[in-house]
Amino acid sequence: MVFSSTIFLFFFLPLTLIGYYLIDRRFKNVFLLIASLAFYAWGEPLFVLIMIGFALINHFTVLLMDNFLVKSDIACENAGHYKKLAKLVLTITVVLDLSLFFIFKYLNFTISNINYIYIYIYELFSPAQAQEILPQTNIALPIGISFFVFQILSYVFDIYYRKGTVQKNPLNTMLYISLFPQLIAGPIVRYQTVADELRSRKETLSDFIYGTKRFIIGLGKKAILSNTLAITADYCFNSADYTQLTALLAWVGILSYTLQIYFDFSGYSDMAIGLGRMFGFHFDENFNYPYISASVSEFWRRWHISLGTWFRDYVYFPMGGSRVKSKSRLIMNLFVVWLLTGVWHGASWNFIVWGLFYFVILVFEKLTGFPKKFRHKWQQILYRIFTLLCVILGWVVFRAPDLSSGMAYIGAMFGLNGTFCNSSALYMFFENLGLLAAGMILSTPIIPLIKNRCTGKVSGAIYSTAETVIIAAIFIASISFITITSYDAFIYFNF
Amino acid sequence: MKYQKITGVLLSVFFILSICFLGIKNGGVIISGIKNSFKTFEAEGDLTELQKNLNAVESSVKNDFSYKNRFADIYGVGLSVINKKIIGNFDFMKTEHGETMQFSLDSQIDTEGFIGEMSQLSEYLKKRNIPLLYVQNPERELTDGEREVSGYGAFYDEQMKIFEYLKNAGVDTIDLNKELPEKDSAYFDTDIHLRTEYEFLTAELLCRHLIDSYGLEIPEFQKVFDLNNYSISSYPFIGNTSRSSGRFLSGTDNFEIYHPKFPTEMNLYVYDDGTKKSGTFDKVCLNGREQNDNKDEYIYWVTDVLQYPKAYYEINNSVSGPRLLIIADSIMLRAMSFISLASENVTIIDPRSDDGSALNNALLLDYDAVIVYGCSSNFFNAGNIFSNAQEALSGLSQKEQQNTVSYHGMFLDKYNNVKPAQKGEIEIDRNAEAVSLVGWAVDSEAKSNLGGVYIKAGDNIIACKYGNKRQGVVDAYGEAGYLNSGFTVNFSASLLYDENGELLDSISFILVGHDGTDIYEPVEYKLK
Repeated sequence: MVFSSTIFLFFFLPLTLIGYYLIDRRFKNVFLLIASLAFYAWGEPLFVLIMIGFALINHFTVLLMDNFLVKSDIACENAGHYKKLAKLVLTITVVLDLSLFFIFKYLNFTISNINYIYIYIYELFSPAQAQEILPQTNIALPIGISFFVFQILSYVFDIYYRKGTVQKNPLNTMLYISLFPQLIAGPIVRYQTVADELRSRKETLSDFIYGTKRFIIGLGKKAILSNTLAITADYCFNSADYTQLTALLAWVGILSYTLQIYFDFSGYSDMAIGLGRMFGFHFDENFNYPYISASVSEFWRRWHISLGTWFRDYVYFPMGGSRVKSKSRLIMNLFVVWLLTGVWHGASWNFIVWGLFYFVILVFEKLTGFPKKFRHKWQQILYRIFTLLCVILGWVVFRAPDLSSGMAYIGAMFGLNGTFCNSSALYMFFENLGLLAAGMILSTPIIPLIKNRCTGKVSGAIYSTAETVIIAAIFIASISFITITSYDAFIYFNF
Repeated sequence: MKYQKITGVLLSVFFILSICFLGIKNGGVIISGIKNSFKTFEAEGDLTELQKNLNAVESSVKNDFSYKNRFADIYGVGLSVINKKIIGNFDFMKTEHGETMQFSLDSQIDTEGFIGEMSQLSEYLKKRNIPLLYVQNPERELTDGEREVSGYGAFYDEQMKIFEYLKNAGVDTIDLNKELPEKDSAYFDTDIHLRTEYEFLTAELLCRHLIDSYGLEIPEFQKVFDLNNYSISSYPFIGNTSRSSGRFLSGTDNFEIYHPKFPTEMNLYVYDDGTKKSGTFDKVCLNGREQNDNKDEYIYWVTDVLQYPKAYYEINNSVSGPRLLIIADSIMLRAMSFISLASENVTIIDPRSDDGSALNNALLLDYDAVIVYGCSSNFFNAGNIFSNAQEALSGLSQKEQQNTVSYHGMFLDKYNNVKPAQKGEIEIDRNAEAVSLVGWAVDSEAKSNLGGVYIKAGDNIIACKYGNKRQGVVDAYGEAGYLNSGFTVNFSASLLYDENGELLDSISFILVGHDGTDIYEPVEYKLK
C-alpha cells in the first residue's frame, strides 16, 4: 500500500486513526502492530510472514545477547567470557540477517555475474558456446527489505553498544520494525530514536497538527510534483535508443528525474514523519534541501540523512572513520562505505558504479580540502554548480536501465549524438518549463525564508490563515491528482 | 501562537473529515473489492492472485471515485497553473489549436495487412459489381512538436499511406481533408469525434458521391440534406478526451442534435443482442445523445443508440433509396445516421468488435455500394476479417450457380445444451434469449473437413465457428481427415422469429465443401 493511494487515504488511514485514538492505551501498540502488518500484507501478503520471522528471530537473539551483556557487567570473574558470548550472538545474528538479505536481494545478481564470468572465461579458451552454470532463482524482492533489515540491524547494534534498552516484549520489537509510517521507504529509524516512545509516548494536539501539515505537504510533493515530473522523466528515459536523443530532451529528462526523485523520496519522508507525529512518534529528519549543497560531502549530509548516519555510525566509525593514521586507510574506509551505499540501493552494476562515483568525488574533496579552501565567492559558486552537475550525472547512472545506456544518455546530454534540438524536444522543453521552474524553486528553502521574512511583519492571524488555506488547497489538489492520474509508484520502494 | 493553534486545529479537522467523508463515499467499492479478492483467494488459495486482486481495487476506486468530475476540474486547474498541456500519463494533449486529443503513442497500424485485406475486399466486390468507396478522415490541426510527441503524426502518416495506396490501386476514394470546408474545426474540442455539423456534411458529401460517381438514385437527398428541415437542440458537453482534465483546461463544447422536421419511419436491428427499434429517426438512430437528467456536461458517449462494442446493425427506412454496407468505426456512426435517412437500407459493421462472422454474413447480401471509413488503430488492426470473409464467401457466392449435391454428413448434437429428441427437429425453448448449437459436419465426398458451416434463419445467414476437434467422428467413420469437424454457434433467439413474432418453420445448415467451391444441399431442421 502506498501513502498516495486512495485505499490508504480514504480507508486505511481514517480507520487506523479512529481506532488508535478510541482504543485503550494498553492496546495501542498491539493495534498499531496489526495495522502495520495489514499495511504491509496489502502489497506483500507472503512476505509479511518473512518480516515477522525476521523480527522474532532478532528479538530472541538480541534478548540472549543482552542477557550475556548484563552478565558480563555483573559477573566480574567471567565477564570476558560473557562478553565473548555476546559478541558471538551478535555475529551470528548479523550474519543471519545479512544472509537472508543477500538471498532476497543479491542472489540472482551474484548468479548472473558468476555465469557471465564463467561464460567469458570458457569462451576465451574454447570455440564452443558455453552454457550458464547456475540457474536463476525465482525469489522475489520483498518491498522495503533494505529499510527493515537496516532497522533490525540498528536494533541489534544499539543493544550491543548499550545505546538503548532491550525490548522484552516481542510485540514491541515487531512494532519497531514494522511500524507502517516508515516501514517500506524509510526514513531508517534508529532504535535509540524511538526506544522510549515504543514503551510509552504521549500524543499531543500540537504534534497531531504538525503531523497533519507535514503529511499534506509530503502528499503534495509526491502527488502533484513528483508524479507529474515522473511522466516526463519516464518519457525520456524509456526512449528506445539513447543515441537518438537530442541534447535538449536529455537535459529535460534528467532535470525532471533529479526533481522527481527528490520530491518523491522527501515527500515520502515528510508523510512518514507526519504520520509518526499523529501516532506520537518523533522520527528524525531525512532531507534538508540537498540541492543547495556547496559540496558533494554536504549533499550527503542533506540527502537521505538516515542512511548516511546509519553507515556513518555502524560502518564508518567502527572502522575508524576519518581519525585513522594513514590516508590509504581513510580511502579504504570511504571505499567500503560508498561501495555498500551503492549496493544497498540495488543489485545492479549501475548502483555500484553510482556509489563508487561518489567515493571518488568525496576522496577528491577530502584530499584537496575543496571547497573549504576557496576564498572567492566565484570559486564557491562554481563549485556549487560542479556539485549539482555531479549529482545530476549520478542520477543518470542511477536511473538508466544499464551502464552502457547511462553512458549513452550522458553522451546525449553533451551533444555527442550530434543533435541538440528538434521540434519534439522543444515541445517537451516548453511543456515542462513551468513545472521544472516550480520544482527548482520549491527544492530550495524558499518557504522557510519567506516564513522568516514574514515574522514580525505580517500578523500571526494572517500568516496562520494563509498557511492553513494553502495547505488545505494542496490537500485538495493532491486528491485530484491522485484520483485522476494512474502514476503512484514510489522510487525508493524498489530498495 | 493562539491563531496558529486555531488554524491548525481547523486544518486537522478538515483533513480528518475529508478522508472520512470520501472514505464513506467510496467505502463500498473498497470493501466489495477486498471481499471479492478474499473470496477468490479462498477458492483458489493463490497468494499472488490475492496480491494482484488487492492492487486492482485501487483502479476500481479511482474509476468510480465520488465527485471525480469535480476533481478532474481541479486537476485541470493544477495543470493550467504550471502550463502543462500533456494530461495524465500521456493520455491526452491539449493542442495549440484548442482541442484535447488522445495520444496515439501505442497506435501502431498494420499498414501492409490492412492494405492486403482491403485489396481482397475490393476484388470480391468487383466480381459482384458492387462499388467500393474508401474514406479518409480529416487530419487534426497540430504543430510539429505536437505531431511528434503525441505520436499522432506517425499514426496519421500510416493512414495516408493506406489511402494513397488504395487510390493508386484503383479503389474509389474520398479525402475529407480536401472535401470538408474549414476542416480545422471539424473535431470537438473535448472529444475524439466530429462535431454534428461535420458529421452532417460528411454524410451529404458521401451521398452526393454515390449519386455522381455510381449513378445511384437518392430521391430523399434534397430533403435530408437541407438544414432547414431540422430543428437543432444543443447543450454544453465535455466529451471523452476531457474527462480527466475538466472544463477549466479543456473547455466545454456545444453538442448539437439535429431532429428532422419531416416525418420518418425506420427500423433498427442490432444483431449482437437482438435489439429491435421501430419508429421515428429520433427514436431509432438519433444522431446524438440526449443530455442526462442531472444536466451533467461530462458525457462519455456521443450516441445513445449505436454504441461500441456492438459489431453489426441494420437500419431500414420506409423511403426508397440505396442499400448500403458501411464498414466503419465510431467516426462514422453519426454521419451514418444521416445517410440512413436518405437510404432504404444501411447495414453497419464495426470491425473492432467483429471476429469476421458479422462481415461474412453481411457480405452475402446485395448492396448498391460499400463504404469503408475508420480512424482508430483497432479499426485498422481488426485482424484478417476481410480476408476471412472473402475466402468463405468465394465459396458461398457459388450458391447462385445452384452447384449443390446431396449430402448427409452432418449432425446436430445439442441445442442450448439439450440433445434434440428427434433427428431433423429442434424443440425451441420460447423463454430462451439466446441460441447455442453444437454439432459436427464433414465433407464426405472429399473425406475431409468442410470449408465452413452457415445457418440460414429466415433472411439471416449466421456463420458457425467451425473446426473444433471431434475424435469421436474420426473413430466412427475411420477417417482421420474428419478430426476438426466440430462446429458451434451462438446467436440471438430473436433470429428464429419472423417480423410478427412467429417462430420460423425451420432453419437450414449451409455446408461449404472443403475447398470452398461446392455448396451441399442445405440440411433442414424443423423448429417446434
